[in-house]
Amino acid sequence: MNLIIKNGIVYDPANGISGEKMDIFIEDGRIVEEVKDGRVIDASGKLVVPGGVDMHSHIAGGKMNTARVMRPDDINSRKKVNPGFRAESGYTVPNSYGIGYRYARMGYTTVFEPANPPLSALHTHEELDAIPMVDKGALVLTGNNWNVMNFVRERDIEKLKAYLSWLIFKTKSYGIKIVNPGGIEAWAYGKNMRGLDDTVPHFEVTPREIITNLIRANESLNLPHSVHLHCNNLGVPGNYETTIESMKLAEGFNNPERQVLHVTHVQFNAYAGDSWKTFSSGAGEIAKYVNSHDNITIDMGQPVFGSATTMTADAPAQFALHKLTKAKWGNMDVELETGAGIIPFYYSPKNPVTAVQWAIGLELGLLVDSDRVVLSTDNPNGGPFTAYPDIMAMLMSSKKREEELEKAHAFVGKATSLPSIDTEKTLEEVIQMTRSLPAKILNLPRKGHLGSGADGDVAIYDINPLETDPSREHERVKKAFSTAEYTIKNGEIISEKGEIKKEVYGKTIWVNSFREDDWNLIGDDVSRIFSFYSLELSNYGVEESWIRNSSPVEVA
Amino acid sequence: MIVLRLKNEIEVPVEMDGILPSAISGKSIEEIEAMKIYHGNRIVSLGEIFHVSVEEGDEDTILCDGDFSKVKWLGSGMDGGRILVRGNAGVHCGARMKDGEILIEGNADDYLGAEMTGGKIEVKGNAGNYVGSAYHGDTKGMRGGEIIIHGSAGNFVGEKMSQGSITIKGNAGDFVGYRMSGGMITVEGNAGITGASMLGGRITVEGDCIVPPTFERTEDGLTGDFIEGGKGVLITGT
Repeated sequence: MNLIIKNGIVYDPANGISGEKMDIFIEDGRIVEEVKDGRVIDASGKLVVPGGVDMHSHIAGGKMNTARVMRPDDINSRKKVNPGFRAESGYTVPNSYGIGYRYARMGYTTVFEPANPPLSALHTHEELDAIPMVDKGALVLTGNNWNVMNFVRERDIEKLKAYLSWLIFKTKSYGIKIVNPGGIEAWAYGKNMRGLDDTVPHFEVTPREIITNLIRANESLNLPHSVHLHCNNLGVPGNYETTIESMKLAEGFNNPERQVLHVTHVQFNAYAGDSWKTFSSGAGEIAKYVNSHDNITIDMGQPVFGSATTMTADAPAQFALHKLTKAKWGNMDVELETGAGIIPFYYSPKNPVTAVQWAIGLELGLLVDSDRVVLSTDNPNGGPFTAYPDIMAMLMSSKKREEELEKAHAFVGKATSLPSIDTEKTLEEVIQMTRSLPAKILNLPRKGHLGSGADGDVAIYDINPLETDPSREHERVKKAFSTAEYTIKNGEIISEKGEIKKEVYGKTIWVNSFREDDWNLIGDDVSRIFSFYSLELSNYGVEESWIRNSSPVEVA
Repeated sequence: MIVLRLKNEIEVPVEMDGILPSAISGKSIEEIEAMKIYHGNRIVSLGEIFHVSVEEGDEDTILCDGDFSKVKWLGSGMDGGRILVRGNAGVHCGARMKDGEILIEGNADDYLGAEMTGGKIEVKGNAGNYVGSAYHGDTKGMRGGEIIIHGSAGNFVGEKMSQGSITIKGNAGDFVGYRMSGGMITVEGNAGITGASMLGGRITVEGDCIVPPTFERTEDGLTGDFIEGGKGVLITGT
């Protein structure tokens, strides 16, 4: 069926369209130059943008379910019955249907899970399969994998490449994620990595070597996405130096298509000071570095005041948080590969530390150029993804930030520069930070724009951008972005004014990195490691036929 | 006074959240009968399950006449007025209530007054487990108000409670005041394991009870649970 979106005010940063009144045509699920007839949506006076792309949101995988089990208080809240569709419940860790519906209501159509432990890959895909409405993908965790660390120690880049392409293929992942390189392995001995030159017990490799070699292998394999890094020392005052040191590891690598290193949820890694008493913001230094290096991109990891569930593969960091807050703590070990920690958390404006965390996230969003920083909450670590409209409004309105600052602890004024920042992102920049930039960083050529050939994923919001001043009317902006007038997925209206109209199951996008010779090169090494696994090699990984809507991307 | 009587014996439980004195005051019988409740997974009107009538008495009172043990969430979230149960009450009775009074002449089931913040609950018979406790996953149980049970109660009395008082005239089960941080629990009979992981507050057991080894004897009585750095006080009869 064809769809014509008539007279909307279109923002499409990737194609240089900024507030032009024009028509969008969709044929067979893809955007085309023109169609003769079809269903017409009158979008006069409304904002028309590409469907949102969330490049870093924990929506599937082992720790999601563990968090749900740990937080009956959360999963029992915000229940909603959708007549004719699935029921939803939960706030920071909603059920799978709730995740899909809420993204759709907000105008988002593509979501990537950034932590797929290889051993739990089947579980990750089962959960992704259960999420309706959006296209999705997953990044495989590699920074603490025994094979990776062995090949790094042996300086055998060919074996490392072979292993990575085998692993991505086996786990049906889209790219490589590193979490606290070496630190999670060290956690098995009650230790952590405190700097890039600490040595991982028994492996004699350093985080510096792991990151550098994974970037080298990733670029040499020509994978669509760059290395996606969660830095060492997360959540530790003074960690901004480690973050900048890690970013420097990308110097010397270049890719004309995209960044070579994406550093994620940087807010949690942008702390100055040497204790929680002297805690302050390192966002300015990080922004300066990122703005002057075009091979780095970041996402915010913005905390939102209220309830959150912290869940990360960074198990040692989570233990430190548990000691600090005394909240209930879940710890997971994924043998030979990675781990995870889960703790409920509350960001209070009255707490000096959490108020400063909130301010640091905004500093990053405001100080870093809009073609380098993606809007994220590291859902649900900084808060649920449903808070994105609120963050969009804060980026666009210094007035809203002033109002929020009045509620926040006075320590924010001392420890951060947020009160003195009067930058206001334009609507176009915010659309870029939530659509075209994440699509570009992930290297999804059919996402995040409305040019001919793109997927027919469009969001229409009930706000006239030409007659609205986001700075003054931030409440209207937030409201409009919270509930899309129409969310269109592959040319079908899936949500209208917050009501689910059609349940669709999107594609699972993964990289078909399979190469014939890989196994010959690494078979012996990997089989040897498998003697330590509690799982047979023949039962490892995910077959393509097990995925609901498999959509492999070939490596160029 | 509004009187509710079951039309027929019910097998599948009914959920009565929202049917509160403050919600029905000023409503006609027809309007009350039209109020919606869950019967299993079906939404039905109150009048399909209950016979509703008006009798002489206080205006802000609901009298539940009969065996209401299959009626869940009676008086949950209540913010004033009175509910009298002439018989047994089902699970979650008075859960999260803020104000008002509930009197149960028979027995109460589990989660009586769970997470209540104010008001008073009195039970002439026995109560089940989790009296004045927290719901699973929540950090605080009872936060205020008063619960009096003339009979005995099950396990986890006052689990995670932080304020208010619970009095049990009979016996209590295991884990009385587990992780409680404030408030007062009095058991006039015997209890099982008492005060485990207690952070604050006061428990008095007039009969026998099992005290965890992580309590110290001080002038005030037993204090602990020191493994949690707790400052709770435990007074025992023996």
